[in-house]
Amino acid sequence: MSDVIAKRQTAEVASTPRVGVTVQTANQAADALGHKMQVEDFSLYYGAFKAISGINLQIVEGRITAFIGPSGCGKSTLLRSLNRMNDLIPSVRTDGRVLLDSTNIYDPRVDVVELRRHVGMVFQRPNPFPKSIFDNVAFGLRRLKLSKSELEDRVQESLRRAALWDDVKDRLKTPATGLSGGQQQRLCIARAIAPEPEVVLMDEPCSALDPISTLKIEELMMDLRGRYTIVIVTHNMQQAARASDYTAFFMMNEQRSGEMVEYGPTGTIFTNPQDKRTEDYITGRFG
Amino acid sequence: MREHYRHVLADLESELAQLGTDVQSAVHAALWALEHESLGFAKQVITNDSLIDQRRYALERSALDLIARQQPLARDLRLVSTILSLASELERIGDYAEGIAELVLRCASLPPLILPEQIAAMATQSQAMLKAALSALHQRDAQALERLEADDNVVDDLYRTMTAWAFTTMREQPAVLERATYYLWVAHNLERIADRTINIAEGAVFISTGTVD
Repeated sequence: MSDVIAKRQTAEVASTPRVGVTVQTANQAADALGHKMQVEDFSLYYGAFKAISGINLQIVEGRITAFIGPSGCGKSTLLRSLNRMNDLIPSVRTDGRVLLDSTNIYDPRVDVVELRRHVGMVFQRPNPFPKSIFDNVAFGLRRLKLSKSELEDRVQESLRRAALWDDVKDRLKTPATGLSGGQQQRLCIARAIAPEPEVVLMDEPCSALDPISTLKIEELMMDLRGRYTIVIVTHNMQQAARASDYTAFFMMNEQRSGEMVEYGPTGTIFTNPQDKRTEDYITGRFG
Repeated sequence: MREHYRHVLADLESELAQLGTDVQSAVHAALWALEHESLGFAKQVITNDSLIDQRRYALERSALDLIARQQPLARDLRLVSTILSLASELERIGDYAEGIAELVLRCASLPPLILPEQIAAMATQSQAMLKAALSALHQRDAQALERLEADDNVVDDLYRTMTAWAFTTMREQPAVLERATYYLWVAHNLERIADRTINIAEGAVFISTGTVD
C-alpha cells in the first residue's frame, strides 16, 4: 500500500460481525497467507436502494478470487467498490470499510487516483485508447516521469507479462485498435499492470472473447498470480472453477440486495459447497 | 495452452504413481516378513497401511477437484476416471499386504511349518505382475493386458495346487493345521493381488483406446 494513502489513514476500528454467510476456510487461509484486501460489513446504496448488503470477506494476497452469482446479485458493484469506481456514479453511498492492507480506502482523505494506481482494473470489453500499442501501455506510466529507456523497458516488460510481446513487438507504433479482440484485452491487462498495481480487478474480462482467447486470458491470469492479487467477476462458472483459488458466491436477498452467500477455496465450493443455494446455482438448478 | 491444467493433470498422475510405489513396497515388506518371520516388519506394514489409505483418499479428492474445476475431456477424462478407479484398486492391494502381515503375527506362536514353494512362486509372480501393470499404466501399454492375463492363469494354477497342499497337510499333520490354514490365506491374498493387477492393466487399455473388451 502506498505511503500516500497510508499516511492518510485514520485509526478508526470497526466491528466486523459475520452472520448468515458460510465462510469456509478462505478467511482462515487469508490469515495464513496474508490478505491484501479486507471488506468489512460493507453495504452500498444507490440513493435509497441498498444494492449490496453487509459483505465481509478477506481477499488473499497473490491469489485469484472469483465472484460468481446470477445477474443483479451485486458482484460487479462490489468489484468496482474495491477501487472506488462507484464514486463516479451520483447518489452512491457506502457503509462499512474496505481495507487495502491496513488502509481504509473509503477514508475521505484517500487520493482516489493514487488508489487506482494500486488497484487497477480491466473491463468487460477491451477498451484500448485510440493510440498506438506502445502509448496505450505507457499511458499510466507518463506521470511517473521515467526516462525514455526506462519507459520502453516498462512497456516491454508489461507486454511480456501480458503474453502479448511476441505478437506486437514489431508494430508497437501501430494503432491498438488494429489488434484482435483477445489481443486488445491482453493489451488492456498490460496497461493495467504497467504501473505495478498490487491488485488487479477484472470485470468479466472474457465475456466478449472467443473460447481460445478466453483460455489465453485464463493462462495469463495464472501466470500473473503470485505477483498480483487478482479479483475477477465472471458469469462463466467454469472459468471461476478453472482459473481461481477462492470463490465467493453472491445472490439477491428478498429485499433485492446483493449479499454474499458463501466464500471458500474454489475446489471446495465446486465439489462440496456448504450452502444449498450455492449448490443449486453451480449445478444449474437456478440462475 | 492450458499449461496450468497440464501441470495439475501431471501432478495427479504422479500421485497415483506414488501410491503404486507405496503399495509395491507394502507387498514386498509383507512377503519379506513372511519369509523371515519378522514381526517388526509385519507390524510396520500394518502401521503403514493407514498412510496408504490416506494417500488414496487424497488422490480421490484431487481427482474430483480436477473434474469439477478443469472439466477434462476425451483421453484426459478417461485418465482421471481411471485414476479414481485405480486408487481404490491399489488401496485394496495394500490391504492384502496388511492381511499377510497380520497372518505373520498370528503364525508367530504356532508350531513351525516350512513355507510351501507355491507361496514363494505366487509371491514372485504377483509382485512381478504388479510392477508390470503399473509400468503398463505409465507407458499406456495396451498390449500388457494379454501378457498379464496369461500370468494370472499361472497364479491361479499355483493357488489350486497350494489349496491341495493345504488340505493334504491339514489331514496328515494336524499339529500344524492352524499354520497351514494361515498359509492358505496368504496364498488367497496373493491370488487377489494378481487378479487386481489385471484391473490396472485394463485401465491402461481404457486410457489408450477408450474401450475394454
